[in-house]
Amino acid sequence: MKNLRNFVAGSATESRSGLATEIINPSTGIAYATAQLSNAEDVDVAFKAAESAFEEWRETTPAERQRALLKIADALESRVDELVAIESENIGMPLSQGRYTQALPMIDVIRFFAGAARHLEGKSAGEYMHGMTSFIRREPIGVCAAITPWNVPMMMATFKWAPAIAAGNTVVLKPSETTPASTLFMAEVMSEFLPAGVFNVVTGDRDTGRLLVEHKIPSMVSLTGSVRAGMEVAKSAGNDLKRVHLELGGNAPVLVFADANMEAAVQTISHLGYWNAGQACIAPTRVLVEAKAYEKFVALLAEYAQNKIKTGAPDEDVWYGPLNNANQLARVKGFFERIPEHAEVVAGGTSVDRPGYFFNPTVVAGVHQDDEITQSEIFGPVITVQKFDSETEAISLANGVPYGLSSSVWTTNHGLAMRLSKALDFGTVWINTHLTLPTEMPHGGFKHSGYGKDLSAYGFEDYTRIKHVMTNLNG
Amino acid sequence: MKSLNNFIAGAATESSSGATTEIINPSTGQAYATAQLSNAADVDRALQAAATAFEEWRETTPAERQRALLKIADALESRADEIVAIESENTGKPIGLTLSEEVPPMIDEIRFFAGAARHLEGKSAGEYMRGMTSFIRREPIGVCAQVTPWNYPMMMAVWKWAPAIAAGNTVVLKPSDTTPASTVFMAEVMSEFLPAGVFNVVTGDRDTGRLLVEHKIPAMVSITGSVRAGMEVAQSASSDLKRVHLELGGKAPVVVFADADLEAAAAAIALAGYFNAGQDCTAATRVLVEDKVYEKFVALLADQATNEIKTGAPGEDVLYGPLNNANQLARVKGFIDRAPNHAEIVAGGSVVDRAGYFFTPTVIAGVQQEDELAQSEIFGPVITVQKFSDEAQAIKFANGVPYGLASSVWTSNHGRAMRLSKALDFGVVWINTHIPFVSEMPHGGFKHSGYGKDLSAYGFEDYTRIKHVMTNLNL
Repeated sequence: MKNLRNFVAGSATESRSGLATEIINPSTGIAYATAQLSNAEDVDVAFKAAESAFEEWRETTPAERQRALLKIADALESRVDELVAIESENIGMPLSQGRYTQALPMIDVIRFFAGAARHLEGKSAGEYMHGMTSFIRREPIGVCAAITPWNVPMMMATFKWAPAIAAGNTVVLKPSETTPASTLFMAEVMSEFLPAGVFNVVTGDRDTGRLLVEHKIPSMVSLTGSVRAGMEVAKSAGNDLKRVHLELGGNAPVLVFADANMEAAVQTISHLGYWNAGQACIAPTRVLVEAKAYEKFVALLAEYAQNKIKTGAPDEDVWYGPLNNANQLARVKGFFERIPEHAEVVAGGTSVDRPGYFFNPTVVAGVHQDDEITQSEIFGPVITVQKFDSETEAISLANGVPYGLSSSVWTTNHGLAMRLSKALDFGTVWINTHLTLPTEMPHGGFKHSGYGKDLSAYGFEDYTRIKHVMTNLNG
Repeated sequence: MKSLNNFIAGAATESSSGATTEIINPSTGQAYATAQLSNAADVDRALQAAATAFEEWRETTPAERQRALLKIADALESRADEIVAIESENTGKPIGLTLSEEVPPMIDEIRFFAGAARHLEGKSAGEYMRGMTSFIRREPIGVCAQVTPWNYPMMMAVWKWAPAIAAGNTVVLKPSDTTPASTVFMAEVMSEFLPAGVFNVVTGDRDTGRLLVEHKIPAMVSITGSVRAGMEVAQSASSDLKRVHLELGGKAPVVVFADADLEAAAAAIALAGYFNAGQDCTAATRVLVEDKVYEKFVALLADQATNEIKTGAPGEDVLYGPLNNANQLARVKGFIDRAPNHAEIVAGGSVVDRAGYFFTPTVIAGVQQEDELAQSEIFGPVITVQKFSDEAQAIKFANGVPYGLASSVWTSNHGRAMRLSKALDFGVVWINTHIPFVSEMPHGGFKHSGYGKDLSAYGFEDYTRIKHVMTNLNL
């Protein structure tokens, strides 16, 4: 079995704990590697490495950081087959999707932040008070702790480290305990282009994550994860006022009006709702349909799920792979054990009878606003369908969840589209599309989906601090 | 003899004029190549090619344009020796210094604008009027006509085309009639990564430049050149309201206070004044010194010029090469021949007795504010020194020229440094340094030095147009 090691201060190291966790291939359910179960000492060593690297990294010019990130992007691009294979073994994603929806966009994200390093926003220097000149310095924050989830591990790692390192910070990152493989590989590749200690990876479980957040060194903690984890991080970071950057769960409403192009909507919503087995916090899985088109739309979705969407192992010709782990499979199944009577499973609803953690493409119609299946993030290949009568009701149902990450509107009416882009309480509103993430634009939520943006100049700026310098002209 | 061709629509082509100009190596005074003397038909063909290419190039994403520019940067970097040899043969620049001082910033500028492509500034969309949503689109302008000078041919070409192409425009560029070689080479290298017609080069003289500016196709004209040329371009462009972007001459004041580190200042000013034979619109050549250290500072500068600064051919170990052409040598010599009696040549002042257009490092002391030497851009290895008695007079002398491009202040007093950074009427104020350029910061002048910025996000934005979209929410 492979042994995955931490990456600290420029080299692969084992945990002082002597403990390891098993890493399982979710397509088979079989362990294929072990990873370090890092303890307090490991976390401390990693932070000290990041802290001492910060003294050097903060002195680099934006141009130097740009060059380092561009070289990392080139190096990862040249090893894209390896990267995709590693990720796929660990999460079961179909290989071609690993390449086209993960590795290549991820490399673009790195190149974007390479350029962003050189665009430090600042207001004009000037005499805002007589006899005093003010100017702005935008500086790195320091050491950043980052915690990433298991759904798209390498992409989420990049969402965190790329802006942080581009802005001159150093990083200690903990990937999810089930999916450390691609992040560790990336750390190794990156180490050729970064001073030792700029990017460190420690693996482990929730307790390791807690140690990371509670440690005195990091000035900032960023997390992509569950709402529960986000609240825990915010509370813990509150103790010594670390900055907090939270990209948490979502439960994206998909508002389909009767005048939308139904066939195109069904096709896109199905593809994106089942993509990665629905394990995306922005997955279009909570469909709200205008009453007069409801029956037709449910039928179209059910037919699509049954006939067009396949699940299976990474090397099979399928749309999505297994759920990430046994717990997640049990969680998704649980929604169906508790499903209310008024809800109707019109496609799927069952796990697949084979090794690994596969679940069928599922459509549940007739759900109500207060149902658990409507209110909670399922994070599985399950699309629910609900009915609305008017624009006002659509908005009320759409916004009526604790989450606020992303949403979409499907209509050919321009005024309606524009009104909803204002009315929806979500960090992203897509119009006649869903889940498309250009690197230039921010990703991040409102309400219980957290605060702080990934991607974009806004995301980059979250990893900077603003200093005002005022100088007396007559001193 | 080599024949340099135009580069139009993706291919090297000869002028339909059948006429050529001789290209001279200024280190020897010998012609070594011919270039096309392009006529109206050539200019029209190039602009048509750019107009056609614009239809495709405007549709590219910022990410695609970033990739193209990064590849161009890599390709030019890998052929640095070749392009420097070409540049040096055409301008007489020292090979080693051009490799170390011009190529890395030029490549960096391309990479900077590659990233800038993805940072399109825009104000927030919103309801600035009830019931109406406004948003901003920043779009390319169209075809840009660009005219570059002979002092830094390859770098000035990059300053023009890189922001233009990064923003989605297409370009027809005319290099100076004496120095087309590196630009034509660059066009060839770039063509591997750009659709045909995105970047076109036509060579020729002033008349060719006029044809470019007067043509109906370009929506914008940018020029780095003389004040005379800038005014001509502005006038010509006004007849159909082309946008104009002008980086013209300078006459940089170098204000040295008694409390400055005089030895360090003299050494740095000599380097910044004689670099490239002073053929630099930001050259540190108009020195103003506080009276109590005037004698000492003149002696220090004369010592630098006499003992530290050497001129010679590209292969020799020297700071600078020849003047660019016979006209320029005659022009510089004219200033010396007409020097008033109160001015004292304390170093140099003569043509070097060898083939080519070499002029010795020169210091002229005792210059007065109204002297031609103090008022006109010399564009040669000539530093003038003038005396001032207090801060107010220093500012008055410094600002008392028609130019407004660059300036520097030398002092150890913080309040004074900050006061002068406000008081000086120049597009850049350097403090205890002179001439360093960074890609992130703008270069461009006030007054007769023109308007529009090269480099930086501001430069990039000059090549964009801003569209406001307002949409009624209730129709």
